[in-house]
This record gives sequence, C-alpha cells and structure tokens, in this order.
Amino acid sequence: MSWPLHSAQVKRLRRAHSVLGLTLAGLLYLICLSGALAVFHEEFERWEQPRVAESRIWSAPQVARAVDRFRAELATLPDKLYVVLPSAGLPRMHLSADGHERYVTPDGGLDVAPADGWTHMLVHLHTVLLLPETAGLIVTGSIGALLCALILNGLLSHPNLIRDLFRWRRDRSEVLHHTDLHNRLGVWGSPFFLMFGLTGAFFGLIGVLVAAGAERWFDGDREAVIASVYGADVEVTAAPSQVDYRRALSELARLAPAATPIYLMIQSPGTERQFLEIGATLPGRLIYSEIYRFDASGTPLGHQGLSDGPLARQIAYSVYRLHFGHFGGWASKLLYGVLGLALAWVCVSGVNIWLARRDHRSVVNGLWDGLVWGTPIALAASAMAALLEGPAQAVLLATLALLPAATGAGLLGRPQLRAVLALCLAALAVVHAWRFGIDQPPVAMVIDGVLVAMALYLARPQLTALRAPSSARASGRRAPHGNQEAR
Amino acid sequence: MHFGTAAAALLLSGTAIGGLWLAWRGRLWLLPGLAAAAAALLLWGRLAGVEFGTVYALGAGTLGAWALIGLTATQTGGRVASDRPLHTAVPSATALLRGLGAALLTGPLTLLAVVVACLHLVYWLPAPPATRWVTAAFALPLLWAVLTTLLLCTDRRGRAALLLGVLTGLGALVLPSGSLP
Repeated sequence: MSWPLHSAQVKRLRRAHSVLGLTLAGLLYLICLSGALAVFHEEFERWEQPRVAESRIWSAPQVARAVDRFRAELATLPDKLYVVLPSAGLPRMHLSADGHERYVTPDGGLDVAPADGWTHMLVHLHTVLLLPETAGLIVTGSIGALLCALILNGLLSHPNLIRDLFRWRRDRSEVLHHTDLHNRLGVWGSPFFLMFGLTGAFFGLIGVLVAAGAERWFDGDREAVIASVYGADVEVTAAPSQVDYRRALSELARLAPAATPIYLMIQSPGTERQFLEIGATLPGRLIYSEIYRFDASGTPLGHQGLSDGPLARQIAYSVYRLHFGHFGGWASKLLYGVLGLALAWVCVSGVNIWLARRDHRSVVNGLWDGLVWGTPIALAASAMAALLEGPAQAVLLATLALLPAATGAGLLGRPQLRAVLALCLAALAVVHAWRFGIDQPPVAMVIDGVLVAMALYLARPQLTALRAPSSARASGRRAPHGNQEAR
Repeated sequence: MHFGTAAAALLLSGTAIGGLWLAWRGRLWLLPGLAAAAAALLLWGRLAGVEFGTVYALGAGTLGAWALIGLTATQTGGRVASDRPLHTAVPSATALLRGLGAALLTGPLTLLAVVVACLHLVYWLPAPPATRWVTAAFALPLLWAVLTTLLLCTDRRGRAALLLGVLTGLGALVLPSGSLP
C-alpha cells in the first residue's frame, strides 16, 4: 500500500511535527506525567489523610444529621450544598459548600476537612498548570488541541507506518532506539492519545467558545448557553424547611433501580426554593451521572436527560470519565495510568531523538534531563512537604526551577538525578510511615510499598556498586549496571 | 465483571494482536487477526457494555501490542531494518528558533480563525442547540490541529498567515448577531 503523500510533503510534515513538538514538549510532559498520577487522585487523597474513617455504608438519617450540623457551621446560606457519597474508590462521605468542606463520621457527625494538599495540587497541575483557573484551562486546553495536531502530523509523516508496525530496534543506534520507541508507542496509543487531546481541549476551550457565543447571541449570559446544552434548572417555590432524604432515595430506587447515587446536591438549602438533586451513575454508561430531581418532600420532579436526552448532551457529559478513566474500577485506572505514562514517554523520546541526532551536547541536553527527572523529584519533594504541612507548591516550583538549572550548568547528570529520585521516593514512604504509623488502610500501604519498590529499582546502580567486591572497586572497575545507567 | 468472560476477552485480544503480528511477519493472512479483533470487541462489549467495552478492547489491544513489541524488540532487526538516520537534517539553532517563533505565532492566529469558524458552525448547523454547541466544541480542536499543521507546513507562511487573518476578520464581520435561529 503506497503512502498518499509525496516525500516533500512528508518532509514538511516532519518539520512541522518537530517544531510543534519541541515547542510543547516541556509543558506536555508536565501535563502527561501529572495526568497519569492524577488518575489515582482518590487513592492519593486516602493516602494523604489515612486517619479519616472509611465506610461504603451510608444512610439518609446520617446525611440529614450531617447536613444540619454543616449548615450550622456556615455563616451564610450557600447557593448549593453538596453531599459527596462514599464510593469504591473513595469510601468517605464529605460535604461541601462555598469552599467549606468536611468529612462525615458514620454517626453523621462532622470530621476534619479534606486536605487542600498535595493531591489537590497534583490535579491542579494537570488541569490548569497551577495558573489562575481561566487562563490555566485555556493553556491546557490549547495544549490538548495541539496534541491532536502532533498526532495528526506525526501519523501522516510516517510512510513506513505499516512496515514498522511492530519494530523496535533497541539494539541499534541511540537515534533508532528512541525513534522506534517514540513511533511504536505513538502509533499504537494514538486512539487514546487523540482522545486525551480532544477531551482535554473540550474542557479547556469550550469556555472560550461559550464566552464568545454568549457575547454574540445571549447578551453575555453564559449560563443560558450552558443550559441550552445540558438543560436548565427547575424552579421551585414554597418548599418545606426539611428535606426528606429517605423518601427521595426510596423514590430514586423505584424510578431507576440500576442507578447508584454518587452525590446529593441541595439547591438553595434552607429557603423556600430548595430542592434536591441526586447524581447517580448508570451501569455501563460513561456519562458522569444522571441527575434526578426531587422537591424537599421527596416527590420526583424528573431527571436532566443526561443519559437519554440528545446524543450531543450525552457525549458532552461523558467527557470527564472518558478523559480520566474513572469508570471501571482498578482495571480502567491502571489502563489509563499506563497510557498516561506512555504519552509522557512519547514526549521524552521525541525530544531525545532530536538531541541524539545532534553531533554535540549543549546546555539544552542538561535542561531537558533536568526537567524530565526533575518533575518526578519535584512531585515527590512537594508530597513530602505537604505531609510535613510545609509549602508544597513552593517546593514543587523551586525544585522544577533549580534542577534543570543545575543540570543545565553541568552540576548534575542523569545518574545523580536518578539517585536523587530514588532517595526522594524512599524518603517519602518513610516520612509517610513516620507521620501516620504503619497501621494504615491497605491503599496507603500499597502506595508506600510502590514508592519503596520504585526507589529500589532506581537505586539498582548504587546497590550493585555497594555489593560489588571491594577489590573491584579499589581497582577502579565500575559495576556493569553503573556504566549502563550512566549512559 | 465476570472473571471467566474477562479472561476470555483478554485472551481473544491477545490472539488478535498475535494474529496481526504474524500477518505483519508474513506468516499468516491478515484476516484471522482482524476476525479475532472483531470478536474481542464484541466480547468486551457483551461483558462491559458498548461504551466501556470499546475502551477495554482498544486498551487491551494497545497494551498487547506494546508488550509484543517489547518482547520481540531484539529479534526484529534483520528483515527490513535500515539503521540509517531520519530523512530530514537536524535543524540549526537559528532554524529552530525561527520554527519556535512560527509555532508560537501560528497557535493564537489559527485559534482565532477556528473560534470564528466554529461560531459560524454553531449559528448555521441545522440541528438542536446541544448538537450545535457540542459539535463546535469538538470541531474546534480538530480544526485547529489541521490548520496549525497546514500553516506550519507551508513555505509561504507570512502570506498564508495574512490570508488567514483577512478571512478571520471577514468571518467575524459577517457572523450574524441577534439570537440563534
């Protein structure tokens, strides 16, 4: 089968791919690596606060008690009050309104607030690159769209796509090693990478489109645009003062027996306009939830039509789970974690190809090594800072600035960065165990175990050198792994 | 999720990738691999529904292919491997800086053009409002990707950018106001 493009066109596409890739590589790597980790944000939340009581069992009276106590804590009546129900991924109930949050104990009492710590920062790094919300969304959305461009020109500039479909010439030159890895990961992963780019761009850029459209056709009313896509809220008057959660939940079980509630939202709580929305997942559906509405006495008011409304609405509401892999338990999370890491590696190998094809080393090599190795080091160091109640974001940014500068100046190389990462990961597990003891939920123990395992894997050269006979070290011979890793 | 069916679906996905690999090596006709891939997709769909099943089938295929590539990495060099460098020359620092500058300028310009085009799509698409907005929201990154690629590939980038700017301005001028039809 011949390639539909001429060699001159392929050459131009490769040039476009190189230029765009090199322009975006650093930010794309940050977004991909943080995204691969953010897939497990529920597990990290539990790891960060392992002492919070966990249970998947909850009841309507527990919700009612917790909401009453939570409202008493608030200075003013909020517009919306969320009750996030326990799930398999995060078996903790929590309440939230106007930026105020609290976990809920099994008897309906209020526990500590969810930590605004490392996990929160990790998710923000992925979604907005720690920038202000609107600007950050536009930047990450734009990078998502340009990732689509990279996939498009990357695939089109690959005339040997079929001939090389399963080839990885790992034992050849460095250029071929990286090129094959980049192309094989990229080609086979392209359906998912395209989906990541497209859905990421949807999150980030729909705001631009809505803002422009609202100005043109809705007198600047963005809510009206959103309502035309997702459906409008209902209007309620003369609602009873107490919400009957028990009746609403039993009505939901009658109306939609397959639905699993994931959150309750009380609109205008404590006013005569209050009503209840129950967000519930449906089996086999990617939509974030269907929203079932009830008045305060628990009488059904209908549902939003996110699962059975216009197809476009269903697609728009499926974007979140499709992007983050939060739909099939551990299987989908692991799949998405691996895919995210693979995309991060595609970014790294893309720049490595360019660096390897140059006939000299320069400050750029050091800067790139510093960013690639420095990002996980910065994430580990900031997690440690968060566990010790220090300034996690400042530590992250300082590490991200200092390590590339140090490697760019030739003060550190890849072997040292690898050793530092091993040390940071091991130290993170130790700090976590020291802070919370060893009697923790299994998920926290698993994360600490993974950290130690990764640290040991990364520290292989140092461990091998330690185990090597002292005579060999005295004669200046280096351990085989040491040479390999230094390369 | 039923364990037995999940194991069967995984096995079928593995068989599909194995079949495609054998076809790629010239040892088997392509059809059995494609048939196994189709059967795996159907089984995943039956197991987890059409939406989850499609993701699982694609994911299992991707991971299977990567695993196979990793396992056969040192064996594939002989057939048509050519250890030659890539076709294009390494760009010089000046060319690279020029390229980076072009990419940084191309991005916002093409974004503006695409936003205007998508607003026209919202206005003129004969469909319910939700369909118009969602179609435009997904079209925006795809159109931007195509336009950026085209603009970065052209030799007369300045002229193309000027033309695009003019078209964007005209598009913004003729965009109807009032309310959506």
